Amino acid sequence: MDSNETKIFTAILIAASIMGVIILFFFVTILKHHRQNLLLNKQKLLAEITTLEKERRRMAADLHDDLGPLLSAVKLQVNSVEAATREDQEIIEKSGKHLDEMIMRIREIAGDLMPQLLERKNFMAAVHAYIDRINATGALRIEYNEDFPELPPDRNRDIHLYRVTQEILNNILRHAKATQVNFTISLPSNKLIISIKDNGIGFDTNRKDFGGQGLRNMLSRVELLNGELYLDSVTGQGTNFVIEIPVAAKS
Amino acid sequence: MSIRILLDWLAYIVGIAAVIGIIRYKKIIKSYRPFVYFLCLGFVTEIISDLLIRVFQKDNSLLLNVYVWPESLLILWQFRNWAAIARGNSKDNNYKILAIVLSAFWLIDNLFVHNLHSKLNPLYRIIYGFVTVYLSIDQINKLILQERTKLLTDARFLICAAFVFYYAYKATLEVFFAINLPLSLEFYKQIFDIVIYVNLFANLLFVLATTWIPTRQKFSLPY
Repeated sequence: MDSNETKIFTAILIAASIMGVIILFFFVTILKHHRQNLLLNKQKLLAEITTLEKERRRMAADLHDDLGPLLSAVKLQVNSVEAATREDQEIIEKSGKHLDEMIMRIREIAGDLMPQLLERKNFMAAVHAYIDRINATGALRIEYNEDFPELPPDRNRDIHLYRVTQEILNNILRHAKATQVNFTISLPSNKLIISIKDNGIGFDTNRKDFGGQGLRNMLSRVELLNGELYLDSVTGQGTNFVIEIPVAAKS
Repeated sequence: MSIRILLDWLAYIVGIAAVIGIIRYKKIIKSYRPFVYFLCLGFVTEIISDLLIRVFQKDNSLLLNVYVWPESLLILWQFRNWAAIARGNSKDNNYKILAIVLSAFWLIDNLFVHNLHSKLNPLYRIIYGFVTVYLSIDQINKLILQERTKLLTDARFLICAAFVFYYAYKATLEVFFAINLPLSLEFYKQIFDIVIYVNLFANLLFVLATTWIPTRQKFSLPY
């Protein structure tokens, strides 16, 4: 190369270096801001979900501890009324039955809002009870399998997992037209894996309107647990949800 | 060993990425397969090119002029797969049209403007380099909005970053080959060496990306 060519080449080399630094800076800032955005989003989600759970717990407690006993008291009072006629006796009996239904329904609503087993025991016990309740209705046959003795206690994790499970099973009941569900929980090497597979109608995950509020909530809760959600579904071939959550080793 | 020879050998890093891709081929999600084909094509072309030059002492222009056509189509196929995952298959036709347009440009560049044996036809390289950079930036922007885990270990992000680096430089420097400046052969060799360094960096990113290609499609929604 002559001196002119060397000068041109040096200029090109400097320009190329500047371009390289600019592209590198562009990527470094993308990574930095993306990480910050993830953190902020996680904090926002945590605040929203914590408020929601607190509110649910309060409502469940109000229903269970205030309204429940009050209705029981009303039922006792109604039963203690001495009927003057046969018609009055029938009305009292009917009122008693309605009150029983109301008490039962309030217990169910309170249980859905915040299951007692989740409060007193853990996710496994609560989800087991929830599955038993669905199986008892006969609407769906859920086969439950778990291959480990116990999870290390974690109240937040248990609530999030229970809500995700509840949402998936509710969706199956409402939309999947399934008759059979395989519910498996396993714990290979400090990773909790929940697999929920149904034999329903499935859906097209590429659909434009795919991804409603329920799915968003599930994804948010799984994210808060630093987990991952996998969803395989083909129209006519059922749906398979897999949730993977890192679990700290039991001390 | 001179730096030149060392750089020539380092170009084979794409082979490491290709081998990792082949080993993980059945495990990785299907949408990434065009990228594995792209790596294999690059590796095989590198071997044939070296054989032509070193063993048979022949010109590799025909090989490289032909190579860029399937390479660009494989890149397009990969972007089409990613677009299909992101939101439906609505963009399928756009990618098909783009493939036809690019193929038409390749034919014009290699049959009418130049010929298949002429030294590294630059027009097509500039056009598909520009298209690849454009699609990569679009993908990166989508990832910023949609990806909820670390981008640094995301295979798609790494592949797109490597594409931006490599094809931005390639398309820019190809301009020197497109315009016949009255400069010496040594000058053009030095210009080409810049691309070799960028290629080395891109290949290292490809190795990382191939290692981190997910085995299952994670469920994700935009914020």
